[in-house]
Amino acid sequence: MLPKRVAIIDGYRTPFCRAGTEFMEMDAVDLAKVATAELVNRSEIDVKEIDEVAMGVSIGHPSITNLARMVALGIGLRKDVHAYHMQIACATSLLTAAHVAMSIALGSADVGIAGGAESMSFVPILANEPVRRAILAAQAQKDPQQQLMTIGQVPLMQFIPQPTPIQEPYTGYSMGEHTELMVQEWSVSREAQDDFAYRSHKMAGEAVADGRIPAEIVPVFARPDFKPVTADNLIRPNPDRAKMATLPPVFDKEVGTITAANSSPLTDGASAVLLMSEEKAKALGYKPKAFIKGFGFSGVDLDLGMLFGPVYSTPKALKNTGLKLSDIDLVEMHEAFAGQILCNLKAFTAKDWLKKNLGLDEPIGEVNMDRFNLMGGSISLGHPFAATGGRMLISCANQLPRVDGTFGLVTACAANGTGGAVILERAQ
Amino acid sequence: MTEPKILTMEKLDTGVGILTFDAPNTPMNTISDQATLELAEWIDQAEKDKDLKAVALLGKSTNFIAGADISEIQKITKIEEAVQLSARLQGLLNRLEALDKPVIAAIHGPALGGGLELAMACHYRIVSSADATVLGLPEVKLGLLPGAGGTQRLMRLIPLQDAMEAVLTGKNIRPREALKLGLADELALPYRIRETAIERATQIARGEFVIKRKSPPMPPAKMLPALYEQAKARIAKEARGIFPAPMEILESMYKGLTDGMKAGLDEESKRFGTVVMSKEASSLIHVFFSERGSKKDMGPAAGVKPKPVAKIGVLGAGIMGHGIAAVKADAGYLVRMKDRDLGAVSAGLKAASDVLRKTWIKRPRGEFEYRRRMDLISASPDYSGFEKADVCIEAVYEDIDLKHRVIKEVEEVLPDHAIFASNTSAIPITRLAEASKRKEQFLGMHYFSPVHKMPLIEIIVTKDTSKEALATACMLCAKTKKTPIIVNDGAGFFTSRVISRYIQEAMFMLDEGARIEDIDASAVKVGFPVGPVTVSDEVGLDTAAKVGHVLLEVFQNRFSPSPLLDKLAEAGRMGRKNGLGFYEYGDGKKKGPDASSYALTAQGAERVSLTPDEISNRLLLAFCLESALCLEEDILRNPRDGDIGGIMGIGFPPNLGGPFHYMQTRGIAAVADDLAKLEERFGGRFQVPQILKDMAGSGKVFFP
Repeated sequence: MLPKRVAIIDGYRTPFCRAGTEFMEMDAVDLAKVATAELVNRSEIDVKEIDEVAMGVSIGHPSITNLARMVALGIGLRKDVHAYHMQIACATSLLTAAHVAMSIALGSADVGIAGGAESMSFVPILANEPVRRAILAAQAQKDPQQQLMTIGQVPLMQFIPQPTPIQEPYTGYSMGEHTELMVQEWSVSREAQDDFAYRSHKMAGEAVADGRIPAEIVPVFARPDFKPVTADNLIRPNPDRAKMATLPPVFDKEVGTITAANSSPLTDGASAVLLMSEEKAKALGYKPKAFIKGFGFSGVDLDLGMLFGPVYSTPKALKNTGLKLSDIDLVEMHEAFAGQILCNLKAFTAKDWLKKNLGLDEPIGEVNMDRFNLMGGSISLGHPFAATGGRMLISCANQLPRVDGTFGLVTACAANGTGGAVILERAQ
Repeated sequence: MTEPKILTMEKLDTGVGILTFDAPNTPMNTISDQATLELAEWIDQAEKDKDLKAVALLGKSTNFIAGADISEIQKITKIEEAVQLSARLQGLLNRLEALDKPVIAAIHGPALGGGLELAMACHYRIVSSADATVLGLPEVKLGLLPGAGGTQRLMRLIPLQDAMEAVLTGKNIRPREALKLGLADELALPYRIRETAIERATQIARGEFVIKRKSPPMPPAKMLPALYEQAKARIAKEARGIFPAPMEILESMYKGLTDGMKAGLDEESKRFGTVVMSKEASSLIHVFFSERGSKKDMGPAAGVKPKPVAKIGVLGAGIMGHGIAAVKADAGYLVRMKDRDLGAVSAGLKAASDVLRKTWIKRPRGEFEYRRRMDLISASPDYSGFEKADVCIEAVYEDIDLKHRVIKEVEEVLPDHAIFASNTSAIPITRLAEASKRKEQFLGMHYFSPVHKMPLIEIIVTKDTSKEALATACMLCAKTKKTPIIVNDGAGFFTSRVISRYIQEAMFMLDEGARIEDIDASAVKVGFPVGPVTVSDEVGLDTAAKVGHVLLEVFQNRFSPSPLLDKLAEAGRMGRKNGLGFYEYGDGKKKGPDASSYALTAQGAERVSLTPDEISNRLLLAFCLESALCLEEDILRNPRDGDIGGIMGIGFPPNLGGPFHYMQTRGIAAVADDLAKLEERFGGRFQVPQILKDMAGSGKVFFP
């Protein structure tokens, strides 16, 4: 429970686009600037009121030294705004929101913006080790001729690009491989995964058609030509279920079940949320959409499952807020993989397993699928890692009144075996 | 009691003299008469002083010497007087240069004109690395030439090409460039400039330091005539024969190159005399002071504190809207732009980006400078973001109904304190304000296209406009480095009304049978940057016709305007924008006159010849007459604003100093007489304004 009520006033995201498409020439900073500038303009908040900005990017370019500060200065916020960078991969913008909420709850800020951005189009490229060393040596030399000579000593073969390393540093497995391990242990079938991915696209398609998704998106005038981009480009409103079944597995080519169709794709996008103390909102005449009731962040036991972030963080968030899962009217869970979702949902009810491994006396509980990811999720919408948390917070806050619910749970797993859960309370 | 002196010297035991140039009771050092007298006295003593070994010459803490005292130059009435002045200054600086004690100029802050000439006569120049430090010979910008040896000494210090460019353009030279060129011998940190100069002087006094300088590379003598011809051709093209100073400068430099320093200096004095007494210099000096005056003059808002402005809403992302957005973001304002749909918004952002990119990209850290400005602009097809706008500038299509609609819409959203400025070019602000609920916060800010290049803003106040709103508009002009003229409301205000009358005169000539190219060439010949027919094509014939309709109310009592613009617009000729106007266009470029447009004139296809004098005389007098009426009718608050608006907004020849300066130079009685003659020939449109009749009678002038 937070010592002061923290209101979500407003939130927006850019369209989420497949890496290498519409936002090819925009980096994470560009995208975060658009999401934040539009949030500021659409919420009509006076820039002078903003005390704090927290943002992050999951796979940042080395030039992004502090995303929040770069955004804040770029779009003309107060020069003395406290702006800081933080990241825990896919749960980054849950973390930034929680941190701004803490600042507000503890009285060190009244108004803050939290968000995140990712550009998989602008992902930094690492050179192979011999190339890297040669370049480093060349940097110390002054004469360009000599520099070329130094680099020229590296065998040409070494310049053939290696795939970006995606192994978890602690285990050596990729996230996909970890999910394969989880679905095999928890007996989650390929069919169930494809069904879930199908559902994700269907739900997203409906939310586009009835205007719920468009209402959360701000247009991006994409560089270099400022071409307007107004919609996500990954959703398939009429997914071909039969074709999904034919796709080959990606990570375990022999007996694997995880395919391109039941995984979240590489995506560009950004999100930003405006938070305020309840008193400040009242003073400025804002009607909050929801309040941040509390949150929990957690590491997971990697041997039990790298992507069990929701399983670990949700009980913490529930305990902090004095709620039970049965009190929750709406769940937004990040869809890294359909398999990861299904494993987490199974584990939520696995009484003995939870008792043994997490020390929980009671299971977390069964999630009502009629109140689960009602606008689709990362599989269908796309997953710009650090922007996804903000996207889910916005959707949850907007959906609570629609389902006439009081409490919403927003949760995500994240790389390095972490996760977070934030509980929202609908504003009356 | 003795007057405080400008030059004071402190002598150290080491034989070093610290000579300080610090004019009392003024923030800026200038080469005044008094200063030259004191310098002469000092040289007299220094020449005799056996203990003095070396001298450090310092300026004020904020400036070295900002130039000559222009007001003293203005007082000169005879050529000989000017020649003598120049020769006297040259002689003084020659003596300084010939002094056997090295003088080190320690330059921090501006060293311009006479200030730089003095520094160049010194033996060693230390320049501070501060941004405030600029060196240059800007005399040419005032129609003058550097008359104290500047045309001779600069080209002996730095490469000839650079010297020519510096003297002919009057451009500023920054400290690091000065060092690179050889104009500065040494660069010093700003806070160490005095110390460094004294240190160097001390070393010289002790014999530990010898001044060495490589002469700049000089083109071989046999190349000089060709270079001279080349430069001459370039000047002829750029100065268009209306500015004599650049050619006088070239001649002085060439004489010095071929016949040596002494001959060069004599040539410089002689030609200094010519330019000082030229009408062009008197016009340009008038414009210089007028611009300063207009920049400072907040009119009825004098002394009123402007409202703080952080965010500016711009309605319309078209040619004016995007330009306004770019200029505001350039000055650091947060900008929110709105247009009707995503396509229009996108085009506006792209255009604003192009403006800012072009402005910044080639400068140091250009990409950063560009981005930090561009990122301040956001845009949307709705009114989001306008609730926090402190100022809203409207630049939508020139249609009163549309403007009324957007005024009502945006006032629903704008905060109570927001100021609304319309960028209409002709519709009376009072009429636009009829749609507003807050007429005291309503005014006109008339920008000129292209917004980022045109220096003028015509601020239009109504009888309801508050002083605070006006003060805020003036502040915006200052922050965006624009020159404002504050005018009262009326159809077409000052600028559009006058240019419309001027274009009308060209249309009447076409109706009489004059040729397009004759009209434009005659206008350009007297100094208009482009002729009136070209202007019409550029503005758009439909737009010009539209402005003409708005102006009917001020014209129709005196004359019926030519129907020519309407006829062309109706025939689908819009000018350059649709490639169909008075001129032919191909590949986006202007070609020759389009003779097919003659069919629409009163005269038909048949053409007659009007003399260049007849054409330019009528164009100039039409311009002047309408300007005089604006003053008479209190649209203009003073003739100075008319001259600034005329030159900076609508292309009155700068060499003529503005319509009012021009009338005064030509003689107001003479102008009234000439107008009366034209009135006899053409009727009401040349009716002599009462104000001119009165002034002709009383002998009063616009600028006493």
